[in-house]
Amino acid sequence: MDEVLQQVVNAVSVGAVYALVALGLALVYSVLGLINFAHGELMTIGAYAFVFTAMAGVPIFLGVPFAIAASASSAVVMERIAFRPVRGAGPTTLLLTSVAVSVMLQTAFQMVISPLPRGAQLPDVLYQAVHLGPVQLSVLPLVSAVTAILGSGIVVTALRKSDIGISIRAAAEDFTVTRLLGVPAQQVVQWTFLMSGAVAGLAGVIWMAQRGSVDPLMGAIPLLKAFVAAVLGGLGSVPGAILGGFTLGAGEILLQAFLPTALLPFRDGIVFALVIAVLTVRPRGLMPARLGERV
Amino acid sequence: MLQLSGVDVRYGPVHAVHSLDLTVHAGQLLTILGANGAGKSSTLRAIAGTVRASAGQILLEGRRIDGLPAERIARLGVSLVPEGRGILTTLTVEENLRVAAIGARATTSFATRTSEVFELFPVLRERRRSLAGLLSGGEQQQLALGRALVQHPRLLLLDEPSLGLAPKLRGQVFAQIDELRRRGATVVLVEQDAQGALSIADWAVALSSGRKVLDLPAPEARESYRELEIAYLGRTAR
Repeated sequence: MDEVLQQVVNAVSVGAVYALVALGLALVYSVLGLINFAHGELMTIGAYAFVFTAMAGVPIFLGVPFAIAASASSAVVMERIAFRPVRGAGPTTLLLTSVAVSVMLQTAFQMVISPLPRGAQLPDVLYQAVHLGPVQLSVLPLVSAVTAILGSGIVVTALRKSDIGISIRAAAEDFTVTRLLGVPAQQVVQWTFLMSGAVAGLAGVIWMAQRGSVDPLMGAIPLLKAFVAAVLGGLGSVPGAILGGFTLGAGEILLQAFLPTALLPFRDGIVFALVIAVLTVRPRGLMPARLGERV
Repeated sequence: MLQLSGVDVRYGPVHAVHSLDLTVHAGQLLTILGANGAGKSSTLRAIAGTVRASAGQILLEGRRIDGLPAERIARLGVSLVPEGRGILTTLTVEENLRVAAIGARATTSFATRTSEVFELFPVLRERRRSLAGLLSGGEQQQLALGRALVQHPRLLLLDEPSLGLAPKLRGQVFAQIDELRRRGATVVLVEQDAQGALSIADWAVALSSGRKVLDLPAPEARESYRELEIAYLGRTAR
């Protein structure tokens, strides 16, 4: 019973983090047609910001918002320096630009900070277990899941209710019409990057907490997973990204639990094969986005 | 109110509008007629700023607006309802109206503005929570007009509002445009349905291959409609 419930929590926890990262990717893609491969580095920036503030003795409840702010502002700067000059260029140009930004940031972290992992001392309570009635659950996956779901929930609510959110959704469907209605294009793009960076920062802290440290290449794996999740869900669709994230997380944990030990090293390969199988049946993903016009 | 002088629009090698002069007075309803490809939509796009005029000047109340980005022109009070209506189908009816309000200079509350729209287009009130993509063509046309109305535009540009509508709905659209004009809007109306447009217009201009070939009060255009149709609108005598 404990085991099953713990696996469910693990699945939700892994899935929620994938969903959070995929959501950030989907936001930018929906508005600009840009798959931001430097999104993983925004996570790394958040994780470093958190680790350094923690090392300086800043409590965790201040460290997390600081990390989110660091990633969000980095995302806005990234847009200004790297992506604005190539706005409206073809998908290949956008893609290569973001890959270049990603590699440059990874190298910069190695040179400026250190190629070695940096860890942060997190409160011990995170590594303990809680007893919920008869069952016992690890705290960290539980906190990760709750935080990631909360983060995604805030973004989704902002997209549904706020002026900025509605403008972003309008721009994602048809940027020309949105501008014709008087909504400033530049502001929408900046807010999109800001929100995308903010979720990357939160995801970076959670990811770092789960593995215990941050290193210059930390963002690569979650980016890959989130990209797969976003494609699985339907690239450019925010609800699709969230669904894809949870589906991918659940698939990984299920296989982890039930695969024979000899096959465990091939877990990711098997998961990706299953994703490809899904995509052959539903080539545009589980919840396809309606693609509008790009800037 | 609006003045174009010597305006040229080019798409690469294609010369869509040639040295166009046009004047629209406040409160007037001017219709631009012409066959397909005559440069009507290009003229509207140049005014709204979604294409650049490659030559000439566009003045809105004495202020040059050519060269400004589309969203700036919209904020100056110019609302273009583009061909195909530009409905945001993944947003609800209410959200479509809200985007329009976000993009406009706010002088009254969103609630006041939407209630004005709902008064004129009651069907939009009923369907305010449905996705705009689920509306019928006629309802989408009303939403497009309603969205422009939310902005309290000084100048309303309409590109083929009756396109794709059943004849009965067309009449309704023209009546609604007429109503907007009676409420003080200045309107530039581009239409394939020349007769419908002339029935409500004050002034008519006809374009042919991007050049202005006719510029006269609408009643005169109505009188000589047969000749006009054959000469300029690309229709054959029946």
